[in-house]
Amino acid sequence: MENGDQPVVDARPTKRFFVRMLVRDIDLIPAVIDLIDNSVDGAKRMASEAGTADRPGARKKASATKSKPFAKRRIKIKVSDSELTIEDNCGGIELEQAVNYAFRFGRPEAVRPIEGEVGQFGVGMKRAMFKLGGDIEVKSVAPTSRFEMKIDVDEWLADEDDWTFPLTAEKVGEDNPASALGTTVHVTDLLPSVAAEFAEPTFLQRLRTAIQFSHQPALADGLAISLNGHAMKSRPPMLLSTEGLSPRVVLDTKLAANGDKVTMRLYSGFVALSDEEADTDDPNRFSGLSQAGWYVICNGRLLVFANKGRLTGWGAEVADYHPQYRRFRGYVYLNGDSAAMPWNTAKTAVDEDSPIWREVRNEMVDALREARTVMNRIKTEGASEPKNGTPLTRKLASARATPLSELTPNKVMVVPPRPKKKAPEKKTLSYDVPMSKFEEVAKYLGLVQPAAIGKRTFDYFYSREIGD
Amino acid sequence: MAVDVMRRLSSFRPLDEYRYIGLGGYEFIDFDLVHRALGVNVMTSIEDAKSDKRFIFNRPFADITIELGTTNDRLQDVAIGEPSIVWMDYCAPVRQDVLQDVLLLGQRMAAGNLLLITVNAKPKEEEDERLADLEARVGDERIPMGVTDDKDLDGAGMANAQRQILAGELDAALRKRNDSTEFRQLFDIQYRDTTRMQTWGGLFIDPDREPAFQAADFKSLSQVRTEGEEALVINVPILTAREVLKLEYEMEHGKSPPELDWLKASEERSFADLHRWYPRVPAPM
Repeated sequence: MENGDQPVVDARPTKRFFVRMLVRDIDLIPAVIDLIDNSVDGAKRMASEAGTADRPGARKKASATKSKPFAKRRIKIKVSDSELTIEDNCGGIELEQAVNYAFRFGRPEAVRPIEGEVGQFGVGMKRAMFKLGGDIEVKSVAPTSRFEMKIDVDEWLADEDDWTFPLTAEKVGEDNPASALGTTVHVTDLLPSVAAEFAEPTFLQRLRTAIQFSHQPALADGLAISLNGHAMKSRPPMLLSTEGLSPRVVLDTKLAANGDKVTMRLYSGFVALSDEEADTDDPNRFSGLSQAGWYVICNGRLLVFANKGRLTGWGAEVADYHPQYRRFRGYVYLNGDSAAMPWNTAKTAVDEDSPIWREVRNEMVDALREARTVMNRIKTEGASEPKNGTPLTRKLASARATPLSELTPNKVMVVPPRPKKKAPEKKTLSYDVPMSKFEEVAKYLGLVQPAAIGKRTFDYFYSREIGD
Repeated sequence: MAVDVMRRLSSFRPLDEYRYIGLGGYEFIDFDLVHRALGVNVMTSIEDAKSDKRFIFNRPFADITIELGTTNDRLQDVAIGEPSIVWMDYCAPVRQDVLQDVLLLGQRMAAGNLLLITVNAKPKEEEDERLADLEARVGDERIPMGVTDDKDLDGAGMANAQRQILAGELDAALRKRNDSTEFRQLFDIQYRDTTRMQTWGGLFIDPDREPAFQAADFKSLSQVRTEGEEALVINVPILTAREVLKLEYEMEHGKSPPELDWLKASEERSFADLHRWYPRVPAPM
């Protein structure tokens, strides 16, 4: 029989299926963050082309004057129940890039990723736009070209054969001034669930927290990000440090897995507890969102947030997380080849099979074991010397919250030695007696406090039977 | 002030069908008031104490049930899904345990029920630790968008931020429900007791009760503040009994402003706003 007579299955995905699969595993906040990532990557490109920074986000020497490689770059985000707009002046997307890569699903093999970039799989921006709404408009002005792209998603889905997005391009080859360069992404006809979430004030608050954390290094380097007119602030992570007590700080270690393409910085230490938290063991009094745990930041993108689970060693190599460990913070920064990063395609979770992750995790677990031991010491020493404290608890109380960039490297945590154990000078007795007998004795002695009565009766026995 | 609002709940059902739930303390002031003014008989007080003896001794009537334990532990056992008026009169500022109660109340309280929450609204004395303090209490995701700096929490700033946090939490709870219950703010009061305090609250409502809500005409009460309105700020002037009597007398006779040289105009105005709720002064013999 000729091949042509055999039935075949047309396994090409329908567009609707494709889009549904594309957006199903991404939440709204990571989707918006994905769009912002594009703008931040643009700012990084501009900075590296201009040579203003050897490495944006890199650790700065305390003595060096603060360079702000992103000083004039800004990203304006507007979120409402009818639209999402992200407007930047971060260099724009060249027409050629738009046609061949930026709006294609997946990055063609031939296109080399840029070092330190977040984008890698070539899905983030498209996925995010489809997640949000039915009308998508992208305008961009790049140094030598400009374009506009409009997608009516329903219309696009209706034609199964046409997988193109038409662009309106203008004046290829012009020399656009630097001040005009930028990209605007405008999504309207929001999906009802998206519109409802965007209308919630608490959604904006969560988005703010996510932006401030995810893009903390870029904000620190001068990038101005605003959300509905509110300026996002750089709030650098800090750890307690003082003479004789400092965190483990491992800088710029090349990871052997994947051939030295990724470098790691690791910080593991403690934060101060608020007065209220320090005084109580009642978990209801701890703050809403517990910040304790591990943070992993890949190419400036937050991948792991306040993790207290097996992923980072808790409940595996060390004990389960417990509120007595709530001082702990660990930060791991990975920088380098985006393709080697231990993230899944959505860049929302760790790819635990990644060789890089295994290597990084070993370092984290090592640091966590050490931190755990010190935290256990803090607890027992605090209980044994509640008034005067021990060298460790006194150092902890006097230590200052210090930004990571100002910490000095230490292969291990620096902590004062354990206090020498003194033989106990006192012993506490405790026993029960019948209430009626107790009351008789109390009345006889004219005392109320059980402790005082116990002491008197003990002294009585001692002086009678043993002597002073 | 709250009692005038509560009285209008009769638009939904007879007042004596409501249960009053509060944190009475030894004084039971609100219980006494609600009982006398509204005829609400069934009452529950949650008390975080080891023994209920002193509460039972002090309760003004036997129909007050004392539930011993923290609100986090006991609120779930109280019938807040039945017709009820709930007044969570905390001494604490908004913090994690308060928010846990708010989530439970928002998930369980029935349409037609009234909720009031009183919290401490005094900003931390250290001016440069106010934002960090609020973040430590509620987590940074709950900080309202407009609050970016310690100075945003000065003066009434803390009360305004806490109102938004409470409203946001209640809203989050309501969105987890599978019904059409909404919350309508009726109270947003800031005042100084011994310290700066605030009371925020309102009514749970669903579409079936919309006509009763309209009929209750809460908006016509001067102390009511619906969402988006500026808070009612009460400066309680400290007056002697004789001064109160004089001012009341003058006002009854339509004179205004009353003539007491040593009072500031603003104090007289506050009194005029508040005199209906001023503690009754015993008339001289």
